[in-house]
Amino acid sequence: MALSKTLEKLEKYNSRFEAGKVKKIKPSHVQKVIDKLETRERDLLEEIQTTKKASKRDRLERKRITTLEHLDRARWLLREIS
Amino acid sequence: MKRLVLPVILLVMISGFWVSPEFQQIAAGVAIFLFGMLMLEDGFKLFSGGFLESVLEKATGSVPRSLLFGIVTTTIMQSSSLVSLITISFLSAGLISLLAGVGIVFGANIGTTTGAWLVAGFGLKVNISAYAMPLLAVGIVLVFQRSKYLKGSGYVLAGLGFLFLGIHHMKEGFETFKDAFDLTRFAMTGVLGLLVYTLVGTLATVVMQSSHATMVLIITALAAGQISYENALALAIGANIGTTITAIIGSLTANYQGKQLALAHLIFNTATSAVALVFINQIRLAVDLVSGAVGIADNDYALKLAVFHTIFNVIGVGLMLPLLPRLIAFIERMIKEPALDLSRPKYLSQAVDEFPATIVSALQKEVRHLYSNAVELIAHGLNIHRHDLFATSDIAAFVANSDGPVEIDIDQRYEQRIKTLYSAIVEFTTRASGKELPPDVIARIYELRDVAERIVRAVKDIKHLRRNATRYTARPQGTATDLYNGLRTEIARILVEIEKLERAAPEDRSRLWLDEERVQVETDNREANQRIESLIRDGRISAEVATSFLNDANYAYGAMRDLIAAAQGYYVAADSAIAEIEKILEMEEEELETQN
Repeated sequence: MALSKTLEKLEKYNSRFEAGKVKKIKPSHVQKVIDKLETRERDLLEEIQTTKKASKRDRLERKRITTLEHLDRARWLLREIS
Repeated sequence: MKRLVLPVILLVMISGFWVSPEFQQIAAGVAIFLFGMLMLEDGFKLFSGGFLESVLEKATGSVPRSLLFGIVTTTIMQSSSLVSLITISFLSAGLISLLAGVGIVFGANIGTTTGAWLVAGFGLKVNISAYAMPLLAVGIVLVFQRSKYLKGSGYVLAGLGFLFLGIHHMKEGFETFKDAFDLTRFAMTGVLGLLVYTLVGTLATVVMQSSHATMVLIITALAAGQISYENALALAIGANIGTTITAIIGSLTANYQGKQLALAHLIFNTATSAVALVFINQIRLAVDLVSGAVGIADNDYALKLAVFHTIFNVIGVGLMLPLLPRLIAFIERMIKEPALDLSRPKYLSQAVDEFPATIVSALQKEVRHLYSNAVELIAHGLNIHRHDLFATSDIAAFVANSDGPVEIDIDQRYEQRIKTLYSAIVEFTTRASGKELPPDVIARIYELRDVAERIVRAVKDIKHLRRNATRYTARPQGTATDLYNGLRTEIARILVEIEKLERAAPEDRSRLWLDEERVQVETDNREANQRIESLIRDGRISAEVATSFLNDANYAYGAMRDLIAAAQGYYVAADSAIAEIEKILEMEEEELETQN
């Protein structure tokens, strides 16, 4: 379901781009977002490893899963537009 | 007194028209010239919406660059008033520094002297009306085009056409005027002449609100032999003083920084004019030397006046530049930043209304101001001190220990610190969205208004929550205390995460981080509901506490969702392509549940 939603949004973006309403998304732009997400994932992992409180570790782990999901989508997007 | 000014001016004009048809032509020439300047200004404003703003931000990185920017833009636009207006708007919006603004003003003073060259070197020597006609014709056709840039070009061309036509009529007017009336009867020599004609030049510029128009009048009168060269120099000095009045009027609706710039303008022009008056003989000698060197005839007083105008402004900049840091320090002492009144808008003023970049920048800052007030109110509403919250490493423990009520009248604070600002933001966005702005700017304005609305809703939700949150946490009451501390902790975590976003460098942060919070809120909401059901089943809380909590949990999770959505709307990437990518990657509502 996740990628189908992302695909839908990409198609909507493409229509807006063809209508001249938005700037073109280039692979370099997507790579910048991927770099930010990878940094985020590394930071979360580091924090998980140094956190002693179990409930906080659980929360951080959920955040990391969300970030990994974003990374999957971003890499898919990069393949789509390359 | 003010009400008398307009009738007096009109009376003098009508009397003049009745006495002299030539005066009519000169007055009409001035009017056409001023109209041309208005069209030029409107034309250049249409080019704003990206290009102008990005040039301004890049071109003002240092004092020499600011100076050069002032010279070039004033030469192109032929209006130091427009350049002052742009500078005041950008200063008020916090997009350039006072130092850069003053540098631009200095440069504008030099750039404005090119007008005199245009008239004396070209306008008087050719049949300028022949150039005006095609400019007007082409310009007006372009004005009726839909494209903003074609329309802007049309205004610029038509504006130039009217400028030339105005010069033509002033020239013709003075030529025929001298046959009917000899103004040189009023020529005055010596110090008295210097002072009187300086005053006349100042008054003329104040009335016409344009030093350009005054200079054109002076040059055309001089060329027709209606005023002496000596008196023309004094009039030019007076025009330099009078032009500061325009800047002062422009600063009346600006914030304190705009007023600082107007003061800098006044000090610079007055000091330059004083130096010119004291050393007028020496400057006249310099004019003769320069004119001789560049081949200007000794009796071409119009061109020599242009040389004089340039020389004394360049001398002024040369004298003031080394004193610039001291000037800035003096201005900052004279016009201090006003003490922050958290209930008044800080960034929204009419001065920022002029350009898309200043509108968005000022609005963004004001929404941030609203959020800052909201965070304080939300934290205090939950009996938390935000500065301590942002410093703690264990939010849950910190919140549990923050059991003493923070004594505030939350309704009064809401009225003073939230509602007034929100009203100002709504009023500003309504006004701004009615202007002709690029679609992406309009979209951003609406987006920021929505951000403000969500912030206000979050605060209102906390107001609802406060009574019971205080009641059940001020002293330990077992499960009820745990439940309400849970809500307070979850809200506090959202505030902390948004604060982290704010502190991150713009190029490092991403609104995608907020998806983590959105997922967490849905998880917490679901777990809270499950816990309540379990507690009720086990008889561990009363129905009264359960229903209060469920009601308050609604408000709490509503506030959290609004705060997150507000942050998503606010922290949009500056690069629109990156912003589009983040929107594509963001999770939809229905996906938040499945992430758990």
